Amino acid sequence: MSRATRADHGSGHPGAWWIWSLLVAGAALRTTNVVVLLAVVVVATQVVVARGDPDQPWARIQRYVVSFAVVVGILRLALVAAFAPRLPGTVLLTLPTVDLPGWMAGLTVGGPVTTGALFTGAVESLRLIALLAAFTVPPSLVSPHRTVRALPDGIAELGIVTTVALTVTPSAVAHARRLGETRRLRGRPHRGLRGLQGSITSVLEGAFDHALTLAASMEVRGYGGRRPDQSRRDRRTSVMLLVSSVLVACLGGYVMLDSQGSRVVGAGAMVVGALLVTLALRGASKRSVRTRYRPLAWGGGDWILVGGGAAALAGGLAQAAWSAGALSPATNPPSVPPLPWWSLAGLLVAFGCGALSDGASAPSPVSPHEATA
Amino acid sequence: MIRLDDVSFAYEPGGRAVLDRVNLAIPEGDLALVIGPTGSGKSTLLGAVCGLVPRFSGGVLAGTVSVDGCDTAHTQPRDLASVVGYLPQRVDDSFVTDVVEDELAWTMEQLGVAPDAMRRRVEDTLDLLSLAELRQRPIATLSSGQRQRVALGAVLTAQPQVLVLDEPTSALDPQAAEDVLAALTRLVGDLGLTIVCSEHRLERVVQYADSVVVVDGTGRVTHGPPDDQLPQAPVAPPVIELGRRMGWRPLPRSVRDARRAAADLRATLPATAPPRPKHRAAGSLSAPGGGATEAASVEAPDAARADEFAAASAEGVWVSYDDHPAVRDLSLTLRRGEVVALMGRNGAGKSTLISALGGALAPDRGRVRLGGLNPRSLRGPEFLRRVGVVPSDPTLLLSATTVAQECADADRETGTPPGATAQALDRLLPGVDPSAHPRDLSSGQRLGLALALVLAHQPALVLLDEPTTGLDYQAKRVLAGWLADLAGHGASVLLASHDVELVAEVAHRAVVLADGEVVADGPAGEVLCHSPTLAPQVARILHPLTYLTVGDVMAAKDPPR
Repeated sequence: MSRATRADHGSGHPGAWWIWSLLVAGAALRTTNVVVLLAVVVVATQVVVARGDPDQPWARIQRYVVSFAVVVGILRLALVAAFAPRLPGTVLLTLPTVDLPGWMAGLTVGGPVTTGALFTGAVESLRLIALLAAFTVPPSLVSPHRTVRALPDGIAELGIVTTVALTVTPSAVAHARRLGETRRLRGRPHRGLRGLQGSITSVLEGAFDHALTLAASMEVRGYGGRRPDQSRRDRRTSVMLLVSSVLVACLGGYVMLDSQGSRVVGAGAMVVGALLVTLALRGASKRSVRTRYRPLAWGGGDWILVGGGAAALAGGLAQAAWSAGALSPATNPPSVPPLPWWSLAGLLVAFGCGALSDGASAPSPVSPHEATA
Repeated sequence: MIRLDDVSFAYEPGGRAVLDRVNLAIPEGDLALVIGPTGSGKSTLLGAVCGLVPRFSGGVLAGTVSVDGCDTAHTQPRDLASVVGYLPQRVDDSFVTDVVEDELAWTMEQLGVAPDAMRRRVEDTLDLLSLAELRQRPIATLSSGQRQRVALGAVLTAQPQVLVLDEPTSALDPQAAEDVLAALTRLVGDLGLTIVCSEHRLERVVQYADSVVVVDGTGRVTHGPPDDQLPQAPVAPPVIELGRRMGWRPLPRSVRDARRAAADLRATLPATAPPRPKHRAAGSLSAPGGGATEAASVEAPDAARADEFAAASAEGVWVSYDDHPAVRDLSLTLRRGEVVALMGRNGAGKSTLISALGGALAPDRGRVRLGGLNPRSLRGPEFLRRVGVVPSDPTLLLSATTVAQECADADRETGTPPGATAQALDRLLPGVDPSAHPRDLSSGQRLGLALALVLAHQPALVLLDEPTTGLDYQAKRVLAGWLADLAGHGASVLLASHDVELVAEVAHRAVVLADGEVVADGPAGEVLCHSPTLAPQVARILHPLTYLTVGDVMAAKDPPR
């Protein structure tokens, strides 16, 4: 098959990047050590800096999402202060309390704000930022079209939605950017409520037109064609199987994340769920007519990526096994956390593999030839 | 191969019939050319053949459409995909993937073609359409001619028996259009493909057509051999027009045939065309006959007094996109009262130059001046009075929810008397429904609306980027009249176009760009007649005489008294 596969544009198999990012995110779970969380953020963002193609619109995804997460984190801290949970610690300031009606007992607004509460809140916010930074690595590095190509066949219904969204969103953004220019051409002021309304309508109409043309084009080109022997009931069963197995996997993940949950139950459910998903997808793919033109290659670089991700997770597990204290340092009073050497070493390996694994790839020879002319 | 039995279509039950009891049968291996005025229902007819009308358009379709024996009412378009390939008018909106090679393979992937066969067909198609060196390029970075070829290739790889093409060459420069058409005729000849193709630039395709389908705008559709259909067709390219006027039988369809018929004509005509009268009655923007009294020759204002006449100028302008220069060190002066045609390949920098002159983008180096002012500093009514721009995507100008509202907005904003814009639109394209939503118009009608919005108030500088896509010959004639009228009143017009016939009709001066540089700049007659790709049909027929249009020939035959 190697003859028909290709080692061309892009940077590694999307699947390899997703595995890498899941494993690195795994290292950020179940720790309250700020050093580990910060290290995950640094590793995830620096990999994008090292490997991203700044000319591509999707390379900015991580920046946007992480900035958004920072804003959310700050809001979260403000909420923590306002609804101060009675955590121990030095009282920093006391907000005026608001008396709530009796049926809202258990909820307090205002009151003393402790260092413990703030610190816990900050760590939780940082963890959210770390997870989002890790999960935005693959979409920031791999062209969304490449990711769609790597999706299994079974989810054709998802495919049409994804493809339309992937194509129409950038064109709508481009349209929106040109709005100021088009308003100028009509001699209209740049600002103003009426203008804004007209502009939004125009962007939405343009996007809708584009989406419809694209959907029509996909339809006449045979998208979603199925084998004549496949009944509607078959399809429904396979979709149901897929949805329920994804649910099982998600439940398992939730149990894993919950600090009171049993790890064994959680991990078991995740593994069973993942197996069921694979089976469901394989079944659905068998029923699809679709074939692949030069399927994406899984090269040596992709194994290196997976290895790097595994190292990050292994580092976290080793840390938990041999010096678990460093993973959950004391929060009362907040102290300089001990350095979790195992975790850091794992993340360093993950970074090295992510930044250096040249995958199967060299950047495509793009000469931006008259993009607009 | 394709049969329409008693097919009628209307957007609303009982509404105006776009197609009215149409019967036609197109046999296998035919290239059927669909022609008709702007907005007459050509795209609807093509959509009906591949099953997209009424599924994706709404409306009511009566009668049966069958392709290769399949009734489109009972077969989903996706299940017809291996039989019918469809190339929509706006190909840019139809790309599913982002890389040339993937796009070519995509249809085959959906149809379940075996990987080995896919590989082979992609290579064949890359060669057939000369796309081999672009195979790994992102589609967004290609020029419009290249994109058109990719879209066509994506349809061809599936090896359909029927190709339905909606204006496949309208966005292309003359050379690229010839390449695409050459590929198509090869397919018809070698593979016995049946092609149904609509096109406004008849001069490009009419010689290849086996039969002609005329959609006349009232819902009536007739089908027949070109020799029967063309003499009465509501639209005619210059070669047919000249043949009709000269009474040549059979009517020549290609320049080659016409040259043979024109041997006598060449012998009797003087070597150069007589100067044109400055104003034609065809359709002035102001009151009819408004400026026709100032008799003047067609010659552009004296070049020696250029400064005095300068309406707009670019001095040493450079514009780059991502380090790739689109316009290099370009200097150009537009004089008052002059219509300048800007020509050149797709991607030569025409649109970029227009954007720079209109102030849409700031040049990296160099200076742009409009009557001594920087175009980027102009705003609001001041901008409208000085500059009118129709960008290559005219929908960018449209924002209201009805045509009437759009025209009324333009009247108010530009300070023209109420109703002027609507009247201008009616003169350009009679019969556009004022209550229609601008996005429901055909693409030619949308362009017509944009032209009316921009030109009705007669700005001092007019910048038009490809203002003929989807316009029929009548509308182009009106547009030519407007531009001549604007120039007659002292405006200057820059017209970027691949439409050599329109340029021949209206331009005083032609500027040819290549790779962002000016390679030719001179009187339109000289520039056009001396270029093998840019020469209009009449010039080719009458070569070595220097005539550009049918009007020139008629004026020389019967000099106006």
